[in-house]
Amino acid sequence: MERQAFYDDLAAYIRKAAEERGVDDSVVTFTEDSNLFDVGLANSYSMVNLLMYVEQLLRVSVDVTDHDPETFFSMRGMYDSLAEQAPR
Amino acid sequence: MNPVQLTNYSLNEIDRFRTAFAHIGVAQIADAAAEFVKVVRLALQARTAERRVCGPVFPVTTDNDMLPCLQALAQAPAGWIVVLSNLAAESQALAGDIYMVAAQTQVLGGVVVDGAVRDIGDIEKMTIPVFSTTVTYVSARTTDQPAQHVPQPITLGGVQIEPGDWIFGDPDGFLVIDAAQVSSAIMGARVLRAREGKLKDALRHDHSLAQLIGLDAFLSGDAPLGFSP
Repeated sequence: MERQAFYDDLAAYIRKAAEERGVDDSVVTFTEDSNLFDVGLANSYSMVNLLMYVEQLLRVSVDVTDHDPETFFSMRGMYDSLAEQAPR
Repeated sequence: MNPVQLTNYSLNEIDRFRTAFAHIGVAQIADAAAEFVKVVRLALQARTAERRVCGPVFPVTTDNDMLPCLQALAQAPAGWIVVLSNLAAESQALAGDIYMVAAQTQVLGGVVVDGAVRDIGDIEKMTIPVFSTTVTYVSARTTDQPAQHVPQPITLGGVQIEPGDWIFGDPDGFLVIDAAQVSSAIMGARVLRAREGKLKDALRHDHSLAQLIGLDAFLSGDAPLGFSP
């Protein structure tokens, strides 16, 4: 999956998930480098669903020991960590 | 009932999960995967110095009979957690030091007993994780009536556990999660742990918790609770 397509798809998912949790995402701006926790779009209770969505999107399985957890704070970190595992 | 098909984990694969779990806790998994965890409401006490356990479950029920427990021990793959659930109202000891030496030698991931164990003086010197609800020196009998199916689904602390589900335990308690979600749950918990680490660092640098989570803005209805280091 191309990088920009990943960002677009994931951003739409994150906004929708935040909206379902009652977060007013219309006032939140974020980019691929934003820390999703800092901007209020990720929290403790959304993390696993977010990871599962990313796994599905990139068709990869997140290894539990290979990745620095902080790479999952941003969309760029996720793509950089996982995209190379994705099937071509 | 058909025989259960178990996932064929290598010991190395289970060890990778165990390594990851060493840096987090049951609390972070429960937060990260709240929709997926089953909360085990049972007062399990650690019987060795190892107070943490993690692995796929090899469960069996018994009624104060050691035979199903021995069957489970004989069949459980390396790295798996044997979970013994005693249906008897007053549990006799289902396992003792010999059972635990065998479990440790087979490189099992641990033994969890909803019921009693014995020989604590010897067990407490061992390194394998052993948990039980009670202790008694009164040994369970061994009948000649084997369990028809080992492993088998059980109920533990109010939750249904299937063979191959994953159990996690530490001093905060125990939870069970379906194998399909275990990888994401652990990674999610690691992300939360990293996040919590940043919060604690900020607190140590003289920020107040109220300031860090935006308590005033939340109380005045201006913003959700959050954390910005």
